[in-house]
Amino acid sequence: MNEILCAQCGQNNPPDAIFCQRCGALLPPQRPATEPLAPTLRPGEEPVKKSTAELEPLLPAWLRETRQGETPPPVEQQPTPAPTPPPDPLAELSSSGPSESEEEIPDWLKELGIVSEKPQAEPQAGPQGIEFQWKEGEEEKSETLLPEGDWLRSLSTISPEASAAGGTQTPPSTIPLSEAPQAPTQPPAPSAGEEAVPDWLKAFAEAPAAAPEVPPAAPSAGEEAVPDWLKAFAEEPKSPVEEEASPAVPPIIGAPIDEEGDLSALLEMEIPEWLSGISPEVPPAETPAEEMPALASAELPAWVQAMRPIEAILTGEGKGATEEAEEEKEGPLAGLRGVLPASPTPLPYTRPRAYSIRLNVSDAQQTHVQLLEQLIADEERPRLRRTPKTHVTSQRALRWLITLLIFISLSVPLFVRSQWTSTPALMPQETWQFIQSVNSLPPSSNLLLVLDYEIATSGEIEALLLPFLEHLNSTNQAQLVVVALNPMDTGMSQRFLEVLHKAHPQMPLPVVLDLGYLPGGVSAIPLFAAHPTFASSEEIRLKWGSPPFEALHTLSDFDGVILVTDNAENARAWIEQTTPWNVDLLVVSAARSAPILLPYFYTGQVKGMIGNLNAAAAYEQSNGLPGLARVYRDAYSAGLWLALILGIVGSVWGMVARRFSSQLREEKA
Amino acid sequence: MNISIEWLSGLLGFFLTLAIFSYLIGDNPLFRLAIHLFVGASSGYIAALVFRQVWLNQLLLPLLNPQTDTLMRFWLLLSLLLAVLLLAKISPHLNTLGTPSAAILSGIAAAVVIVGALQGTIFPQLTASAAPFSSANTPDLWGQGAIVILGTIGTLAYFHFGADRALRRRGWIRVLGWIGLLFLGLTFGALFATLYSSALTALIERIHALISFILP
Repeated sequence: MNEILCAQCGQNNPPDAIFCQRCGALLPPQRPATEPLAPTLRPGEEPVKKSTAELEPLLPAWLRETRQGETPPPVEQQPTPAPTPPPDPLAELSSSGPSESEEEIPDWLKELGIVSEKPQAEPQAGPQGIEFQWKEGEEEKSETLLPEGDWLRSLSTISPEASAAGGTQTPPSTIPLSEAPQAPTQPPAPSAGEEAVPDWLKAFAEAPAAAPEVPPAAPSAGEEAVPDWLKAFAEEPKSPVEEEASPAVPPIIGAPIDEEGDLSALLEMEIPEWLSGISPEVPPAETPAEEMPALASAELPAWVQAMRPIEAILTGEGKGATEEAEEEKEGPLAGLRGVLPASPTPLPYTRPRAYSIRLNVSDAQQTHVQLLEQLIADEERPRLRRTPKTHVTSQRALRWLITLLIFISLSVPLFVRSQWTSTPALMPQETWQFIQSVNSLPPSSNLLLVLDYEIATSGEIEALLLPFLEHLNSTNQAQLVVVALNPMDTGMSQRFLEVLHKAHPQMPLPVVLDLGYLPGGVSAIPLFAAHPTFASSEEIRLKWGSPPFEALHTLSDFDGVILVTDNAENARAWIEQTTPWNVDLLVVSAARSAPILLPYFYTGQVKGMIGNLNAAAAYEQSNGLPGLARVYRDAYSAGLWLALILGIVGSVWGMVARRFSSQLREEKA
Repeated sequence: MNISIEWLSGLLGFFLTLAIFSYLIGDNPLFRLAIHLFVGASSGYIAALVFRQVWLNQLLLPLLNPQTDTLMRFWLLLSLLLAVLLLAKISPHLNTLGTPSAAILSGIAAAVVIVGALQGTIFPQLTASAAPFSSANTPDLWGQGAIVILGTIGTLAYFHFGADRALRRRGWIRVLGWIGLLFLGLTFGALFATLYSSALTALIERIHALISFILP
């Protein structure tokens, strides 16, 4: 498997991948399978020494062609080291290791004389930086190695003296490179070596004080060889941020050059491969895309562009700010800088408002809630029900006994046709008024008979109504118009005539016109009062227009209205609705509705009323024609007496039983 | 022995009466047979009567009669429409269609009852209650009127269910309430007595019918 290992995140990628599938970093080109994989630098690992020449075969072809065709570097004359695995760029920083040989030292470093031909001691190099060793016995030797007038030589002599000027008794054996910029910031003590310091280095030493206003260097012959882009770098003022961020880097680029020889030496030294590709003739901004088809950024997918390091899209000051951003150490963004936004101040955070889940309930409401809960709980709780003890072992026997007594008391008078009870000595006032109203009717009067009772009370109604019919038929040849409010009462007029004929066969029957059923209930009463035949059939209407009913048009045309009812509500509705029509209203009511209708008699709205069997018996007595009321009277009286006796006996029995049971409880107690 | 319709009807009435009386021994098939016969016969009779006297005589025949004028025909059709819509009350889904008919019936009945109650009951009864206190009446009528007024006020005081407990605990209201309770007891006792009187009369009529059938 020729997978490519990402140098940033360690992700295995396919051989043809250009960018890492995980972090989007640019992958190194695929190498043969036989080549050993180069060790990958991980965060926290210590870089190893690598030669920059090893990067040569890893460069893209277009880059090598560009360099070979345009600016052949002078280092090409030197033997090219064998291709090695891709080194880590940080390995260059540790090029001054103890095992560094002379062949591995670049020529430009040799010319600069920073490193001696024979290492005197093993410098301690760590990840923090490069440390220089200073030994008293080797100062002169080092100075001889450095070129005369070179700034590095004077630099080597400045540091110990500057340390001594600072009051230090024993100069430190090693000085971290990170502390090096502090020396130029303070003016060193005057010494002999100070004169050898070039002007541009002096300017560098004085730069922190007047960094933004760097005076332009005097034009020199060597300055003409400096390319324009390098001049632009030199003229570009450094921001204080940049100065603080990288004070240890020697200002090789951008520093004023006052000597032509120094510039020539600087240009003739071995330039790293990555720097050799840059030439004045080919500015970076004018790099044609067609010459580098492999890096056509336009072909990058959107997600790759989104994963690019932020410094790739930032320029100018923003790039410098990106360099200051913290580098990611872990995760898929390891090695990237400035990807995650880092806010200098924490985001504004406000504590969410706390809402209490406790209800705002007062004590009284709490008491009511507890009471309601207690009531609900009591409803579901089974409760023993105290039932009074019954001393009658069999209710059915008592019921049968009462039934037998009622049947005997009622059947015997009817069976023997007795007349043990006397006729009522006193007649109710409403009954007497009823008789007077009938007596005052004109001859051949037209009467309206309204039937509104249930079939269950037909026996009582017949007994109450028959005396009126006998009286009417004996004294007045009246014409009866019958209308039924109850559908079951339709045709009951024939029943009355049969009873009347059966009781008095020799008596002529009255003329009867049955209008039938009046639909609509109470709502139909006003309309019936205005148009009595509105609900009748065509046949009835024909009879209505012929004698003796041709003179009847409204309710007021009747000589009287006889309401036969056992329903107090309907009777009251009839009384209320017929009051405005100023017609004499007589009521034959069952006993159960008579007490409710009696007040209307006292108001004059009802002229007379027959309300019970005793009243009917009195009516028969006044007529001199005994009828059903007289036959029923003995049985009726017996039934009332029986009810009275049973009521008294039951009350006494209940009192005795209660007394007896209380005594038993007291004895048991 | 001649078997007439009257005798057969009398015989049927005799057995049906005994079947109703059999309820004394509890619920039994004879009692149920008599009840079902009564309910069925009553329903059939009422249906036939209403169809004949209402639907046929008052709606269909006038509609089919060519002599019926247009206005009357319109009212008949409107009545027919309202009656059909009232049948929609049977279905829960079409219940709302019958609402206009029911509203008309209820509204008319309420109007008639309210007007009738005012004209025929409330005002006349108030006048009659105050009539005994006329100067032309004798003192005995004054006493009678006082009893009527006392009973009326006492009954109203008994049904005074005011939310004000202080008003409820007042002594004179409790006394009036007790008097009203006495009148209510007497009234309900009288109503029960009249109810028993009606039932007793009906039972006497039935026993008399049985005896008359046995001993004509």
